[in-house]
Amino acid sequence: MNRHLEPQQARDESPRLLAAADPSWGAHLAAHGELPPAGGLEALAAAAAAAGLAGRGGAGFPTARKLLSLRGTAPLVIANGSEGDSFSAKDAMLLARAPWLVLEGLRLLAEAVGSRRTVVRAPAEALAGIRAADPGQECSEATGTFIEGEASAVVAAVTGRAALPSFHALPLSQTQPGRPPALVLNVETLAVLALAWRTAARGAPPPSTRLYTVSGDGVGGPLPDGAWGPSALAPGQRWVIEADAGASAAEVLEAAGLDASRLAATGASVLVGGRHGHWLGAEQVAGGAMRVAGSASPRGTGGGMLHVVGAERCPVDLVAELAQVLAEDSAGQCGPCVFGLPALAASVGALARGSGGSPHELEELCQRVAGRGACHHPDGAVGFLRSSLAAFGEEFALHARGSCSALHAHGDRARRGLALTGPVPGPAQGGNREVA
Amino acid sequence: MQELRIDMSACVARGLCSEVLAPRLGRDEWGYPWAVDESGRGTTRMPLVAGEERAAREAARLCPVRALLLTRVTPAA
Repeated sequence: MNRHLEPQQARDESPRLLAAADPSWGAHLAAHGELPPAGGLEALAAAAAAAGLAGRGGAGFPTARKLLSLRGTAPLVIANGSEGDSFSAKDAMLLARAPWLVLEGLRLLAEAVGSRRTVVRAPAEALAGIRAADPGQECSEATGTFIEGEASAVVAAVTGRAALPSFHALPLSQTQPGRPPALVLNVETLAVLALAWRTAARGAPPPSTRLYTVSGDGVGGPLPDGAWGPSALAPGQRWVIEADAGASAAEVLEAAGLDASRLAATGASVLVGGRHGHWLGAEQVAGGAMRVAGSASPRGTGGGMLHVVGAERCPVDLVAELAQVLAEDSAGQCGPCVFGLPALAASVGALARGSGGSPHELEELCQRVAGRGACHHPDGAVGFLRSSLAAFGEEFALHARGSCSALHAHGDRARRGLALTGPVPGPAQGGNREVA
Repeated sequence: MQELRIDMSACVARGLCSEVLAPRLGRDEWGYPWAVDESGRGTTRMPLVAGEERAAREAARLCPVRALLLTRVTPAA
């Protein structure tokens, strides 16, 4: 179940992605006005640069540079709404709420590069808005696996091959035998482009928001009326928030109706960027110093995903679950990924159950897997695991000794074979958790 | 400068490349070619040093699944 929170009142005149009241053409025009005629590639790249636009699918590559690399080619242009990471719901929300912005971005781009074929790729249910808006638009249905959202897998699927990443010695925008030149942009990137083209023509402030998906695990509880509200994140519930593209994690959480300082005080952590993401500890979240986007962040937001994990959830157990998911996400093509990710998952799994393994062994495995795939899935998985080791080092060390912090997992210790009489750490040893 | 690129999605770990290019190109615990970058991290791109080109060409020729590609590296723009 996904819900959307109406954006707070804009403080400036910059346009918003979800400004239209509904997906109709009339509401789109009322919110954004007519799209100025398309222009050249340089002008479009300049509009993207003025908005500081970087890819919103997760990799964060500067859009202007991507566009300018296309000079002289007429590539296949693909709007990518595959959104295979279950921590994300913003692409589906955007396609449902603002299909016209995505279509406009796609057309601006196609005209600027002289492309004759454009395709929107997304899961079938997410394509409904696009199909209703323009029945003539070519669409391609994604099946919802994680790996098929990778750019080379998207190109493969759209050109009639299996939706798997491929080794490409040349960038996708250049012709390679058996593959047309292609440009793949996330659907939100295209929607921002349509806004930036308008503001550039008007000399107005460029668009400055982005979409975030906020979800949680072990956070809060039901509201008094029995409904799950923005002050509590039900498992499986995802909230899509439109907020400033340079917002801190705390600001995004506040926009979602969560009390970031209270969450931080209870020892909650935030996974930023989904399955390939990294962790922000409670102190970083509360401090607000750690921005999730922009130059102040060492890692960026990924695809704008923030997953809040409450202190009652054992982080090692959660990391083990996700490591297993990442292993199953493998396209099954590259040896280091096929063998390495299950080995990593087994290593974290043993730690989580208190049945062996060590953080050191985990890091050694990470070194043998990173950088060795045709795509970046193994790198993303290793990045997540290394961040987990850094964020929850004490908890990992505790598990390596067959124990678990006193604050969680009491109920299932027997199931997981953890020592019931093991060392019970105080707050200092247990990290940043508050003993209730 | 030339580099040897490994298409890990095609590689089936037969190991001929690492025999031809030993000890520069090793194998990991699963048998796949183990190349490292300047900082010692695993990679699929092995920059060739002087005198290695012939062996690299031979490795690419011997690979039963054509998973090796010799490319000329242009400095990053």
